Amino acid sequence: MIRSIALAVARHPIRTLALLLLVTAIFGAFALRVEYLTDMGKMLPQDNPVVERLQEAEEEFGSQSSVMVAMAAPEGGSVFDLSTLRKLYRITEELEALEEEGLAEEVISVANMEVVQGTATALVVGPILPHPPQTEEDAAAFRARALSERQVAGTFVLEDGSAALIMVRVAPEVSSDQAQLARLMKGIEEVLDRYRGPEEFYLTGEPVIMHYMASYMRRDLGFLLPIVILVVLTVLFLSFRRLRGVALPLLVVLVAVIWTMGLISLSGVKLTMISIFIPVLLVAVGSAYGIHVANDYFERAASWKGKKEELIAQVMGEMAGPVFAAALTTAAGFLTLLSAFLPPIREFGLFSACGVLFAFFLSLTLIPAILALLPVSREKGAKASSVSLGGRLAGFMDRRGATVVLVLSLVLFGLFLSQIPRLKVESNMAKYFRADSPIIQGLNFVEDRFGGSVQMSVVIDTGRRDGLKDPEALKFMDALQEYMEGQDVVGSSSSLADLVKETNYTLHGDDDSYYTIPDTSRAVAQVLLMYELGGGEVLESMATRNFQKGRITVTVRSVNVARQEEFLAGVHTFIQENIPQGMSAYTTGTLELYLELSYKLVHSQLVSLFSSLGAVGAIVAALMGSLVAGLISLAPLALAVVGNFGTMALAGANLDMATVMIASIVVGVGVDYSVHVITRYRRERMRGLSHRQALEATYRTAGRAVVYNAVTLTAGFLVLLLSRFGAMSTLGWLVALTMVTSSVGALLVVPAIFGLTNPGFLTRRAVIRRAGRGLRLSWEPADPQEKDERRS
Amino acid sequence: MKRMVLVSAAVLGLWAWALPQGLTADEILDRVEEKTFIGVETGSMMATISLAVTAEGETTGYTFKVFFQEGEGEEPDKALVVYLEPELVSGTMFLTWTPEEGDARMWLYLPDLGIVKELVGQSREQEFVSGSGISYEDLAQGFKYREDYKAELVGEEVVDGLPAYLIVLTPKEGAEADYSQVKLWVEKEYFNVIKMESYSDGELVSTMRASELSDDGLGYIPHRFEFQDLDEGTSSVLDLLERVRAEVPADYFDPGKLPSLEVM
Repeated sequence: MIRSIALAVARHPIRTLALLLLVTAIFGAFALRVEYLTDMGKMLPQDNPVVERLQEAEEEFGSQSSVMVAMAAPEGGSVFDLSTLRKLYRITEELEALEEEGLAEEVISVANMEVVQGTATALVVGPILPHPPQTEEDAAAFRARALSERQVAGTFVLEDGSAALIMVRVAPEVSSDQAQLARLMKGIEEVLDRYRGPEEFYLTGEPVIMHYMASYMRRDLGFLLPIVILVVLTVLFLSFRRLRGVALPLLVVLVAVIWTMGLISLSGVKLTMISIFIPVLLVAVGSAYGIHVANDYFERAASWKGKKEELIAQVMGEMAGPVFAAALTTAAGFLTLLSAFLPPIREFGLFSACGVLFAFFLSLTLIPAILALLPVSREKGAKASSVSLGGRLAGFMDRRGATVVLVLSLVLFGLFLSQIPRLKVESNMAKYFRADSPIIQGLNFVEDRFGGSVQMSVVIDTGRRDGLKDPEALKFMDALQEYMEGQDVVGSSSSLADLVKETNYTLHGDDDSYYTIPDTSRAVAQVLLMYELGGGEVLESMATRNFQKGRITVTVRSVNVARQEEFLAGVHTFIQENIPQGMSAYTTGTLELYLELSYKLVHSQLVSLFSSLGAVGAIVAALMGSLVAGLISLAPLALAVVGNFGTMALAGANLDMATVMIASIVVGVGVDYSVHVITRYRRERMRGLSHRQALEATYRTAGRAVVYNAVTLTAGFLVLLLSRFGAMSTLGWLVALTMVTSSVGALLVVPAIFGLTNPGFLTRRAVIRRAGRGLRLSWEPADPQEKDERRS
Repeated sequence: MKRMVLVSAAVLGLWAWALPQGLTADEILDRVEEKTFIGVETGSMMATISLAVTAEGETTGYTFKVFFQEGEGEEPDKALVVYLEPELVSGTMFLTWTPEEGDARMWLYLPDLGIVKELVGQSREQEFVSGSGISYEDLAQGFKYREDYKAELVGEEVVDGLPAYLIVLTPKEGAEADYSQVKLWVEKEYFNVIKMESYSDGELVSTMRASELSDDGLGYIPHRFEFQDLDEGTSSVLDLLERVRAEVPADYFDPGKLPSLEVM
């Protein structure tokens, strides 16, 4: 059938190209409208309990998403110096304008935050100094007051005056809107730029990460794609040394990329930091089909005497099988990512599979259509060297080489396997950036100085109106905060309990013995009334309007997953053991999202690895009609996958949202090498060639294409080293490495197994016979002599 | 805070003798602003009001007793608000001294802590019940319509069966007005504001309706005011349950005496 389609295409190339151009134009129009998604909450399944709890908490207490702006005092100076302090006031005031624009819900700094202050007879709730300091005395008075406030010192300003913190709480609708978030960040950066020097500013927080992620994604797409194209172009030229060899595979992948991006946009899916990698992947992976078709074409064209259409039909008829097998296995590898927990990984799997199938389809339509319009290429190309190299390698593999290769492979397999338990899981989005990026610098500064940047909340539900005014509830919250702040991972915490204690203390003339929760509900209610009438406001972020539920806000350090997990487990145990009867509590926030991601990443990894191995092995087995063939095709992959994880463990690379995809990419892409080697080797054996002769022929033909393909993919993936995402760089070099290991495995390990075991499927053809009313699969020797022997 | 304009218009609902026809907007507002809802001309009086504030589907009910004494000469107007409900804060007292000009002074007495504290540096325009829209100033003195706005009489309409003047207020040049436009419907006979709409940039942001107009012996006024803050999504209902002329002892307005006060 493929042959007749190829013939039809070759006979009607203009019509075929016009049709392909039309489809490309339609997909291209949609591709231009593709959007980006950076909201981590939206990257998780919306029915996940962790996501549901986060949404519930945000509905009741507002967004917890904040931009943290740290102002570092100049070397040898202090934020309490008059000029720096005045800057802090002006910056706070200018950032407050973002509230009016609806971009920020609240801007809090030491310059504007309301503190409860009092004398024996009066109480004032208001800023530490209601106007910017005018004199050194003002600044000194400000310093003294600020550092005497428990909720300020260490949280919003450091006692040594080296830094101050401004929190910009982001309006909920802004967090999930790229354009709005970009406006907010632009607004913040414009203000900071006006006041930069000698003071320095550091930004961190989830919205900052999301913003940088979106801008880096755009930059990566615009920057990396042309480089990958250039790299692939160079490798193809060096491989084929002729224009068609370069242009045809490249054209196939470019059109496949346009179709895929158009399909993504058409499906209403947004690009994430995972799917942004699809175009780069397709350029590298999709070029394989064109390479194999072009390689076969050049091989045959050199000595072709017949009609051009016949040549094209023969090339297509010959290559359709292995290219289809390669595309199908690659697509199957990607499709196994549909079992992943994270929608971005599922989307990546689905659209990568579509892209691969597009590339396959185009290499069987676009290439023959173009070839039909061009004269037959008679050039010989760089064949001689591969003949001699293939011959030498085949000679080596025919002697003791097979044993050496297998023993060496097993030793390496064992070595890398032993390293895998050391592999670490990482789900903190900030860790996806490079160490020298402003994100990581900001994160490190804030965490070093202020103790934490990852947000976490504990929501307490008293089950009744005004329940939070019950001293028992507030004392529980207070004790829980004390427990959490006693942990090394916690930077700070705040809640209604702090506010009540602080107001009670001030009402009693700053008597330390009253820095407590009052003993009765009435007293608590009256303290809160005093606070509100005094000008304070019980924030929505602390308690619901009816005082049934309250929230403790905690900032946690970006430490390793195991420590965060241990901390969270401790919090749950504390809650379980100490929560008053009739009340309930749950934890939520970014910390829990990260932890949930970590659990699911490991789960996704295991499921996708085994399902991709199973699916790919089964496809190869079905296509070759042999279970043994399926198993042998997996051998180089097993070596590549174990080698990858072992290398990750040795290099300290984490298993994260990006690297979790490597196994599926390796299995899906790497199996192509085995498929081409096995198909060609088998074909040569069926022609009656010996192991060595078949191997030599395989190395000369499919082997050469495998090397071109592997070099293209390796070079293509290495381009990811230039990505602004550290995680993508890691993914790039790891996949590049696996391309080398899986191709070398296909070229050496597979022939070694053939040489040592000589499996039956290599010399027998699967035949479907009619048996009674049904069909029966049986094996028939390919060699006529063997056939006769069997008959006799 | 913006809502205090609405509340003021209601709680200050005045009664007055009918005036001859052909009044200007300013003359009508003169009549409206003449008295506070407590009743300035009474000199000293007591009222009981209830307030239900609804936000996010939750209604919080308050009941207060308010004692009022008009200041003579340079003396400030004084008001004592005693919380009767909610139960958790019952017995709490809030005392204000509001001079004609300048800052008001305010004290709060917390019965369960036995503490009286002066609240320093508070704006007289601050809400005294969160979400109610009622400010300290509203409570003590009523709304000064023409502080920030200029008024224009644009016509007459019938509201709930009552003939009313329709006055449109627009901000004075340079004034920091909360709204871009305020519409007042003032019933013609007793000069009570019975309906009010406030607009911000041409968009309706809050409304007030006054109802249950009756003569309680001290004057003909509305006894129910319903407010809606369309911006915040909150609403409140204020009921004037009782209003009587009474001689209020001076101790009621002495912050030092609050802890020992036995309210009548």
